[in-house]
Amino acid sequence: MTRRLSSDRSHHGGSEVGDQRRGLTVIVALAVMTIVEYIFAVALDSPAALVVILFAVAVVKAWFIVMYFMHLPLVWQGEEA
Amino acid sequence: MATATPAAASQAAHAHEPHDEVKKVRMNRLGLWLFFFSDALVFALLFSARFYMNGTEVDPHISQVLGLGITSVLLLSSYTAYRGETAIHHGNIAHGRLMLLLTILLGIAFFAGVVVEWSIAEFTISEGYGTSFFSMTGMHAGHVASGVILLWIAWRKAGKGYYDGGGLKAYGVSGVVMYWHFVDVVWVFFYPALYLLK
Repeated sequence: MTRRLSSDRSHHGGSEVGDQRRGLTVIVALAVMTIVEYIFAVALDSPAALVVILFAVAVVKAWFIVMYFMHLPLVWQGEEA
Repeated sequence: MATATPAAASQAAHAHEPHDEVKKVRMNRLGLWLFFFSDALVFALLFSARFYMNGTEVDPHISQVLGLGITSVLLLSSYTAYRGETAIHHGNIAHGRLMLLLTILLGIAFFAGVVVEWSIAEFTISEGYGTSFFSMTGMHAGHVASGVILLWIAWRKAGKGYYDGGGLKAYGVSGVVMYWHFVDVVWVFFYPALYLLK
């Protein structure tokens, strides 16, 4: 999924339907990762392992938001006219 | 020696407009990211202070259901904000405004959830975990409140035709929605730090 998303332009580069579909893919990924976080928090008893896992997942979630919702690549790629 | 007529001068000036507009939006975007970076440092200080004062301990009485609920609401609001921004960028103003309105309502729901959380908390601000919890959620809720106000301004301006045609004209909406996503990114780290650790 990440490879397919990366090959697209990150900011409204295609049709409206295509852009909306990309947003849906990202939000589903974020929802799944949030559920995974919650399950780990309930199931794991080791605080150290929990810290590592939860913040690894949080970094991935933040990366998705920054790259696809906040359009970070546009800072160096520039705007389309 | 030929001198430029007013019409030719105007034509020459207009020839530079798209380029100038692109440059302006690019600078605005860079400035916004610099703001995010500086604001993120404030949140990072609160985040590190939480671990310095309390280790990984979380108050056992904190409501996990409410925590997961408000996290889901904020996550969903990021999606509606993205949909609103995308629709307005493509010139679909009506759908964009609907999505912005939905984002505002979800933002208010998140804020209300935090207020409920504060009112039922079984710890006080003078306790170690309470100090972290109230300062982190308080600072974050302040950003949510300002984000809701900014979204409302964008929603009103969209209704008045400021973003008609989309494209670069809609950068105002993009800036506000980026701010909203930034608030979401902060919560992505605050949620496990305040609710899920042991």
